Order: sequence, then C-alpha cells, then structure tokens
Amino acid sequence: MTVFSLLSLLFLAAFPSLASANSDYHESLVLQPLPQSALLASFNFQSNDSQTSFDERHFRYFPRALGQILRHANTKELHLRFTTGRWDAESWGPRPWKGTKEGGTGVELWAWIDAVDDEAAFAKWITLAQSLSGLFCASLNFIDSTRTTRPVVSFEPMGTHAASDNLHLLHGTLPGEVVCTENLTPFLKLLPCKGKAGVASLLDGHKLFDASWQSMSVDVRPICTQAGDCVVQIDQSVDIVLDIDRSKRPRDNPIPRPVPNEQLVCDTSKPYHSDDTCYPLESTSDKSWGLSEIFGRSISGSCPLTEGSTDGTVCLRVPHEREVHATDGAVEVKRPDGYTRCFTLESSTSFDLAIPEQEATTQVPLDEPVLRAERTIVGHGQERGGMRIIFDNPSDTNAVDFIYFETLPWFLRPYVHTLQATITGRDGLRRQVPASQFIKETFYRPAIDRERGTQLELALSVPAASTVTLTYDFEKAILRYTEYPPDANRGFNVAPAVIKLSSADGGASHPIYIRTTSLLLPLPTPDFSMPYNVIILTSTVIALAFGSIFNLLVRRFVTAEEASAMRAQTLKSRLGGKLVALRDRVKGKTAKTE
Amino acid sequence: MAIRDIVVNPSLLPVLNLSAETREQCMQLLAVLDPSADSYSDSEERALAASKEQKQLFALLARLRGLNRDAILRVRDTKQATAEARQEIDRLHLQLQNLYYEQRHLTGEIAACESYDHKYLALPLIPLEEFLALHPEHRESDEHDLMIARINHEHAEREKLEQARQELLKRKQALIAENNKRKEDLASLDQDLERFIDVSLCPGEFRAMLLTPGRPPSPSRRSSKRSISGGIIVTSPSSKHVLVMIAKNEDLSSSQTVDTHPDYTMNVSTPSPRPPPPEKPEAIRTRFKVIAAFWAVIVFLGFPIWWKTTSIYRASLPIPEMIDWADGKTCRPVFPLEIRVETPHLPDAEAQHLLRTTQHTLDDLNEFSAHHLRLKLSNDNADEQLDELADTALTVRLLPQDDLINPKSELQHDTTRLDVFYSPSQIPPLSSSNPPLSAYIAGELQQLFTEEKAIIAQILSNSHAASATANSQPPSAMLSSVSPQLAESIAKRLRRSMKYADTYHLAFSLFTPGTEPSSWDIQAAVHDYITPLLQAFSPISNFTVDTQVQLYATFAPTAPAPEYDEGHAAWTLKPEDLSAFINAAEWPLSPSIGPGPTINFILYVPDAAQSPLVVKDSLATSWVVPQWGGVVLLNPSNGTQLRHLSRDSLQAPFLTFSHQLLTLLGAPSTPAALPFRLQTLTRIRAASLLLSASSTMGSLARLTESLPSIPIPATVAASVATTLSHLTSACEHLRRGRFQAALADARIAETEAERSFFEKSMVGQMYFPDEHKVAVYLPLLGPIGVPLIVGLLKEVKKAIALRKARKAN
Repeated sequence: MTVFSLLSLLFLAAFPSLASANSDYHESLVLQPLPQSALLASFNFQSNDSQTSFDERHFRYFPRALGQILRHANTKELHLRFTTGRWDAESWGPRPWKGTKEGGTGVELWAWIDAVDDEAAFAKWITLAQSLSGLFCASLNFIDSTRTTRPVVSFEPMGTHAASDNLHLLHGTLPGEVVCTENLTPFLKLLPCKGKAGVASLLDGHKLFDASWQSMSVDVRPICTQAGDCVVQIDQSVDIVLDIDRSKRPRDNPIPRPVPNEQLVCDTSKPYHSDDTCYPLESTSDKSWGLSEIFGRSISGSCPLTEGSTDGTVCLRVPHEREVHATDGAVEVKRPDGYTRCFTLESSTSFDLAIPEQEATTQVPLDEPVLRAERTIVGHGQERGGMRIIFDNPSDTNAVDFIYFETLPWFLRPYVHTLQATITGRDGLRRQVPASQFIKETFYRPAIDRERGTQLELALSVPAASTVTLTYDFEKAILRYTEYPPDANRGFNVAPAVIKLSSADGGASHPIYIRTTSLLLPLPTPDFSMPYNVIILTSTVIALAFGSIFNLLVRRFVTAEEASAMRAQTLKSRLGGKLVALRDRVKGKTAKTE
Repeated sequence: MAIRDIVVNPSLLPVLNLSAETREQCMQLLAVLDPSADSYSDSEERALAASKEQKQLFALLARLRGLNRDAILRVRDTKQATAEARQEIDRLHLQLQNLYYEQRHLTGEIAACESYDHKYLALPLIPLEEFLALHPEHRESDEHDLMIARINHEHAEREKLEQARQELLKRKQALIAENNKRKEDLASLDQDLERFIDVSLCPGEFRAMLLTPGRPPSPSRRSSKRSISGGIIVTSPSSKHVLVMIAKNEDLSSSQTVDTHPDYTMNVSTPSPRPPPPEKPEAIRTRFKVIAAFWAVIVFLGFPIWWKTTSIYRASLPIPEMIDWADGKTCRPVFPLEIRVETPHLPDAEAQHLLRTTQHTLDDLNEFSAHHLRLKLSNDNADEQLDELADTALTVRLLPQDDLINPKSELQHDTTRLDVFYSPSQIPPLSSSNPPLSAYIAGELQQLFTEEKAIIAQILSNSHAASATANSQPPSAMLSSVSPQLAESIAKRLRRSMKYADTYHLAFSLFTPGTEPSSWDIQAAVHDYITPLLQAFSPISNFTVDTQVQLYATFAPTAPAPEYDEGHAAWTLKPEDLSAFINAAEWPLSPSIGPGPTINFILYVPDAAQSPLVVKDSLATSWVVPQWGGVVLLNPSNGTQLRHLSRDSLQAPFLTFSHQLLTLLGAPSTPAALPFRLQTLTRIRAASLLLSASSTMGSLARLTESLPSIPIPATVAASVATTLSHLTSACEHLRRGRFQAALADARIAETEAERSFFEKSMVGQMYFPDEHKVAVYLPLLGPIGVPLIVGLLKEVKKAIALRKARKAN
C-alpha cells in the first residue's frame, strides 16, 4: 500500500499538470531512508517546450544541443540511461519509478525514429548515437549494428505519436561503459538552472559516483492533450542510493575509524562481557543525517523557473512522528499517508534538512518486489558455457506474466534447443518440466557474425510461490585477431536482460521494468604476438628450404681433397705468384743496375 | 759421631776438628757468661774471663772460615775435573755409534749386490751349444767372458736385422706413392674419355680426330701386370663409327699431351693433392640457366606482383591547367556592369548622345580596368535578343523636372534604380562634347560603385599578391587611388566576414547571469528583423535559425570583471578584454549540426547589480566577433530586471544583429539601398569564390606534386574536372556580366574544389610503415636474397672474364 503511494507520488511528480502545462519546468527531490543505513534520493527535472517552438527551433527550457540532435536524427522519442552499481532488491525493495527510469549497467539507449524504411532508420540511429556520444562524453558511438536490436514487445512509446509517423524502435546497450563525472556535467548543463539553483545544486560528482547504486536518465517524448496542444517534454532524473555512514565521512579523511570505547554500547548479557571485552549492540535508533552532511552542500534556493508550482519540491519519506529540522522559511506539508512530508523552497535562501538521531518506533514499510530475477553464466572451459536465469515469484497467490528480453553479442552463440526449465516450489523440490509450460511466446532473431547480435524475447509466466530456472547452452566464438579489445583478458560484457512486467493491477499504462546485472564472458584469447612469430618462423623455414634447394642446383660438388687443393691453388698460388713476380722485378732491377 | 762417619775425606778432617774445638770454646764462653754458675766473684772478673774466652773463640772462628773457604775451592776443582772426564767419555761413545752404523750399511749393500738380477740373464740369447758351435774359440774361456761374447754376438746380429727392416719400409712407401699416382691417372683418363666421346658425337670432328695421327691413344704396351686398364666403346649413331678406346695408366702422358687444355696439362705436371677437374660446360650452362630462371621469376613475376599490390592509384590531374588557374593566367576576372538608362522623355538621338558622352566621362574617370560600367539604353537591346541577357546592375532613369538649377539624383531603397532629375534646359545639344549633365551622371555612378570597386580590387590584389601576374593594370594600382581609410575599413571587413558557405546556421542566444529574463518574444523578433534579410540573401546562401535561452551564464573565472565607471555611471568592459567576454567553456554555444558554419548572436542581459554594462571609452553595447558572430548587451532601460523581453525591447538588439549579419556576410556598407548592396555582394562573392576555388586547385596541384605517395582517387579527378569547367563558365559569365550565373557556377566550383582537396582517401595513412614490413620480412628476404645476389654477381663476373678472354684471344 505504502509503496503504491510512493510510486503514485513519484508519478504525480512526473506528470504534474499535464493538461495545463504548455511551457514550464518542474523539479523534485524525494528522499527515502532505506534499511542498512542507505538513503534513496530521487531527483527529477521535467521541462516542456511547445511542439511548435520546438519545430521552429526556438528553445527555451528544452536544451538546444539536444534539440538539434533530435531534429537532425528525426528522433521522436528518446530514452537514455547511465547506470552503475546494483540495486539490492532483497533489502531495498522495489525499484524507484517502477524501474522505468533506470537502465542496465553502463549505458542504454533506445529511441523511436521516424524514417521511411529500416536502413534509413538505422542510418539516423547511428547519427543519433554519435551525436549523443559527443554531447554526453560517452562512448555511445560504439553502438553499431552488433549492439543494436529492434525489440518487438519489450518497449512501448511513452509519448503520443501521430499515426502517420513511420516510427522505428531501436535499442542499444553498452554494458562496459563506465559512467562518471564527465557524463554528469553535460547532464547538468541540459537543465535550465544548470545545477546552480534548485535541487540540482546538490548533485556533485564526488558524492554521486560514490553511491552504491546510481542511475541517470534522459527521456524526451512528445505529449499531446486531447485538445491537440502538443508539447515536447524532457524528463531528466537522477536516482542514487547513498550509504549514510560513508557519505558522512569528511572528504579529506575518508578512512572509517573504529567507534571510541566510551561510545560503544555493549551487550551486557553476554557471558564474556567484562571491562575489556565487549559485544557491540546494534543501534536501534535511526541514524542522524542532514542534507549538507550527506551531499556536502545544501540546496541553494529553488530554481526560479519553478515558481508557481505549489506542491513541495523536496519530499521526505519518514514517519510523521520523526523529528525533522528544516531551514526556516520552507513550507512543510505533511501528507495524509503518514509517511510523507514535503517542503517548498524559497528562491533566495538556501535550504537544509537535519534529522536527529531518534529511537525508531515505526519504519516506512517496503513492499515485496513482484518478481526477482537473476542471470548468471555457468559452465567452464573456453569453448562452451551456459546461461542460467532464475525467476522467483514471491507472491503466494498470483502468477506473474512478463516479457523477458535479452540481447547477446554475436560471439556468444546460444543453442535455443537446449532451453530447459526447472521449477522449484516452496517445498524445495526441483522438477524438470518442459520450457513450453512457462513460455507462452518466443521471438528469436539469431545472430549474424559481425553484423548483429542475438535477440531473444520471451513471454513468460511464473506460477505463484515458485522459482523457475531457465537454462540454455551456448558456444563461444573465436574472434579475429584485430577484434580483441586492448584488455582482452578481462572478458567481454554481456548486456543485462530486461524484464517488463505488465502491471499486476491491470493498469496497462505503466509497466514495471526489472534489469538483471550485466555479465562478463571470458573468451579464449590468443597470444597476441603470434602473427609475428608465425611470419618470422614461416619466413625462416621457407628461406632455409629455398637456400638448400638453390645451393643444390647451383653449387658444384668436389671431394674434400680437391677442395683443399683448389683453395691452395687459388689463394696460395696467387700469393706465391705475386711474390715471385716481385722478386723477379727486384732481381731484374738489380741486374740492370749491375 | 755420625758426622765423622760420613766425612772421611782427610782434607775435611781438620775442619771437623776445628769446628769441634770452636764449639767447645763456645760452651766455655757460655759457661763463663752463665750467671747461675757463679764461678766468678765479681762481674769484672767475669767480664775479663769472658773477653778472653771470646778472643779465643774469634780466633777459632777465623780459622774455621779459612778452612771453609779451602773446602769450597776444592769442591770447585773437583767439579771441573769431573766435567772434563765426562766430555771425553761422550765423544768416545759417539764415535762408537758411527762405526756401528757404518757397519750395518755396508752389510746391507753387500746383501743387495749379492741379490741383484741382471738383464743379461733374461736376454733371449741363442743356446750355448749353438754359440759354441759358431765360435769354437770361446770354448776354453771362462763363463764370464763367454757371456760377454755371447752378448756382443747378439747385438751385432740385431743391428743387421733392423737395417733390413728400414729398407723394406722405404720400399713399401714408394710402392704406395706409385699406386696413388696410378689411381689419379686413371681418373683423368675417365675425363679424357668423356671428352673424347663428346667430340666423337660430332661426326666431322670425330673423323678429323681419327685422321689426326697420334691422337688416339695407342692400344699397345699392356705388358705391366700392375697396370689397370679400362676400355670403352663409343658408338656414334650418326656416323656408325665404332671406336674402341683403351687407356692405360702408363700411357697417360701421351694422351694428356694430346689434350689442348692448357690448365690441364699444367695441373698434371704438379704433384698431389690434385685440384678438381675443370667444370663441364653443360654444368656451367645449367647453373647459368638455374640462376637466370630464378631471376626471371623474381623480375617477371615477383616484382610485377609487388608493384601491383603496393602501388597506389593516382588519377591524372591537369596540373598545368590547375596551376594556371591558381596563378590567374587562365582567367582575369572582369566586371562589366551594365547600367540601363531609361530616357522616357528624351528623343532617341539626344539620348544616344547623352549616353555616349556619359560613357566617355565614365571611362575617363575609371582607373580600374577590371571593373567598368557600360551604359545602355533600355530600349535598344534588340541586337542582344539572341544572346543571353546580362544582369542589369543599375537602372538610371532620367526624369525631367522643371525649376531645377542643378541635376539631382535619388537612389531607390527597394530597387536598384537611380532617379536623376534634371531641368529640360540641361539636355546637352548634340554638338557639345562634354555636357555638365553627363559629367554629373558619371560622377554619381562612379561614387556609387567606389566601395565595390575598392573591395574587388582588394580581393584581387590579395589573391594575386603572391603570384604577381603581369596584368596590364595590377589591381593594386587601383588600391592606391582609394583613400587609405576606405581601404583599411574594407580590409577589416574582409577579415571579419565569414568564409562563404552554402548554408549558414544562425544561433540567437539570450544569456543572463541570473535568472531573469527567462523568456523573449523571439519568434516575432526573428520574423520581423531577420527573416526579410534572409530572404534577400536567399539567392546567395541558405540559412537556418536556432534560438535558445540560457540562465546562470556567468563569466569565465579567468575573464576580467567589469569595472564601475563613476563618470558614466556605468559598468565598463575594456575593449581589449572583449575577446574573453564569451565563456566558451560554460556557455552552450555548440555549433549546429550539419554542413556550413554557425554564426552566433548573443544577447547578453547583465545582472541588475552590474547594469548598465557598456564597453569602455566608446560606450558601445555591441560588437562583432570576427568570423564568429556578434554580441549585444541589453541594459534594461529603467534599471529594473525584466522577466520577459517583449518585441519592442528586442527591436534595437535585433537591428544590431541584422547589421552584424550583413557585416559578417561581407556585404559593403554603402550605399543604403539593400538590393544594390546585395548585388554588390553577389559580385564580391562570385569573385572571391572564383579566386578561392582557383587557389584551392593550385594547392591541390602543388600537394599532388610534392607528395608522390598519396593516392589520387578517380573521384578527385572528376571533381577537379567539374571545378575547372565551372570555373571556366563562371569566368565567362563574369566577362559577359551575368553575375548571378557566375555566382552559381563559382559556388559549384568551390564545393567541388573543397571536396577534391579534402578527399578522405587522399589523407589515409598506410597502416604499416615500410620499415616495419621490412623488419618483419627480413628473415625471408635476407636468406633468399643473399644467395641469389651472390650467384648473380658470380655469373656476371664470369661472363665478363670470358669476354675479356675472348677479346684477348
């Protein structure tokens, strides 16, 4: 229930005033403490420009750099994700924004491109990826045909598109891309307030990329109302899970220190407890934290462009009885759900939140995720391997229907006929069952070497209270010598799988997305000096063979005695002859003088 | 007494006696002195007695000492005597020992001699009886002599035998040598035989040889048993002659002398080891063929393949033509401007006359031959109907107006028309040669075209400065007549203006350091002030327009901050710091996507705290960044911040922007009429494009000549051909005064020239440098190449030697 309210809150922030908004800007920050001293901070920035001014290239809130790229690449809807880390669903519960604003590890990009046919769409797609690569300082230009897929059912357009548009969905991932500060800076430059005012002023690369999990997203989509007013909406969000203890450490002294003896709370019930032995007790109270403590700075006023929006900009999800100190001037509104309070910021004064340590009485309850998924590479050796995907349905009553989408690089060649399923109930018994029992539909597009990767989309259904394991075998291809990256022995990244759950409560509009972690595939790597060795060895052998044959053909063969005689004749006789000639000359001269 | 028993030596006895006596005396003295005895009455007496006794005692003691001394001396003597005696005894004992040793040694020697085993006992002598039989004279001699005799006999016998052995050994050596010699003779016989066979295959020669007496070896002398004989039967298929040749070792000399080979006979004369026989001619021929075959493969197969696979494609370019273009030899751009004169109120003859006189005056005024004005009556173009019409640069309409003392002219602002008003009285009579009206019109026209002329002259002189062509009138001559201020301003404008492009992207940006204003009426402003200008320019270039609003656009931290000037009550920027005004790192001024340059126009609204912001000294609020764009500072009029920039407040900045755009596009500043300026711009652009395409051609030609290793794809050649043809036609159009067509051709020429110059495959580098390839393939090339080359050299040497030998012969 509470999670649903959180999600509805997020969606309220996401679609604030769809009907009235024509050209406006909104931003919000939702802070929610999570178990194990984690803190989820969800930043969202949303701005609209009217479609007409967008078409005439008059950019006000919409960033010109991005607008130009979209126009140039005929892109109608764009989704770009930068993600690092792993969302710990076991302890943190369901994902923020129902997973719609996060991507797989690395960079993920998908877009709807208006083009006459597939080739034209792909050409525009390459243009788009390369332009975005320059804009976001990311290696998006490495999205080529082998990393591009055209998902069939896994993604749906979020915006409203005219039926006349000939839209093509293209999807690309770069699982090995390392997201860092150089991607955040252009991201912030796209904002109207540039991270200098509003909640964006909290975003600092040092803290953001120190998080346990973080995801940056850029979504561009056209939205049309019934009346025919169309806006182009850019929705940027940053979600981070920070470790409170870690973030509170001062930057110049980040090494964790043990708690001083006097502050240790010991478990006195232990039999070995004494003056010099202590079993530390877990603190039952909630930790104290503040915005400036965790982010290293406070919010420097609200972005003036958001003026007029009445709902709070900064929302905090803690029980109402929890004590919270906010800067004077901020208007605090407590929501009736008992867990949410929101603050509206002043434009000129900076805003800070401080939450003192307090004995925890209630906790914001976290919902159970609808589905847990795990994907691993099994097997051993350089030639073959296997993939194992585990779907766990925690619900005791409802079966879960979902779409499983994965793209595999071409050098990983799956054998789909080996696709097998086992089901484990709550009793812990494993049963081998035919895979067709769970797989309702399959879309499979096999790979072509060096041209495209494998695309596999499965419509699956996992029964209640059971765990389904899918396995299939694959073969590892041998790459060409020049196709290996410089760090070939590190392994090759395999993009995460995407799971799309149609909403359990029948609402088909907003699906839930889950992404597995990315995988690392070790491929057989050659000795890279081999070609030179081969060339040199072959050359030597050929030269030897040639030399002996040539000598056999050309040389004259004599006995050893003859050879020595010849040598004597050639060298000695020549020398001797000269000596004799010299002597003769000398003698002749003397004879003449006489 | 015990001591008497011990001391018996008579010499010591007196000592004993004396000592006894002395003792007695001592006793007496003691007795005297003893007070208890009391034999003496008084002490004096006692003292007398005691001294008497004492004297006696002393005497005794003195004697005793003497005796003692004697005794000691005697002991000493005795000791000496004893030592001497002992020495004597020791010497004698040693002598005895030596004698004992001598005796033992001699005994041993004698034993050894007795047991010695002499060689003569083991000598294998002939038995005694035999010896005695041989030498009976020794029968009587004793055994010793007999033995000596026997031994001597044996010695003599053995020496005799050894001598015999040596002789035999020598003989054996001689025999072996002889044997070897025979063997070699046999081998050379084989050689002879083969040569013989060769010769015999040629029947004529063979016959001749047969006829030659003494040539065939004689088959006689088979007497020696040890001689090795060989025989061969050679059958000559053609001549049916059968020759039986038998060679004998002993007869070799005769057969060898037959041989004509000089070396061979010489070799034979030398003793062993023998050198190998000379090579057979066919072996030499075979070797020559082998080497030739290898080299043939390398030269006719290897090199062509290598050449074919490593050569780069170079399409042929018309280099001289291209260089001629660059040097301006092919085309000398001229600008014949056609000016139509409308004379609706003048009779034809008078109009013609006026025209002629005006043209004369114009020609007199003009010093720049490349740019000249041609007047034409608007109604007499019948003769040019067939030909293409030249562009009309200007239309002069002569309108009569009464009550005018001097003629007056007016340039229409929206067309290229010059209205000249005159009083009818000023119409020149047909006879006048230099009427004032003509002079006036000519002067007006000349003034109108002054700036254009100067710009064109500048462009031409810039491009021809290096080449220095021998034009009849160099354009720099024209420059000298232009006023220096005008020349400088033209040069400045040329430097500022953008390079010509097909498409320009205009980016209008509103920057503000704070948050306000955050919106502007940009659509209306662009529509009102920019779009008309762009439409006017559309024949020359295409334009796209982008706009954006950027808040929080602060100055770069390194840029100098504005200073407050009390005098003007304004914040001022130093003119030299204007280049740092734009914060290129932070402000999103990325160039637009697509071909063509971006011209940026920045409207900067300063913070309220720093308003008004002006440039120091000049108090200007706008400036042009050469070849980049323009900046306008918009200071809110009443000092308060605007939240929204209305259309009215944008009027002034956008008019400035349109002026800056004209400047950046290179349009002249005078006259005021825009169509006229655009026409001028057409001519200027055509000229500059023509020159730039020509110079690109020249650069390409020089590049291809200076870098023989770069490939020239066929597309480059095609582009060059297109460029040249379009250049020619552009030049022709210019000559005929059709400037629009000339511009169109020059645009194509420029595009093609750039395309050919920046062809991607021309700048591609080889993946492997040659040195690497050689290093990798050296293990192959070295061992193969060295024997081949050495073989070739040897053959060549031999061939040269052979030729020399032949010449010598």
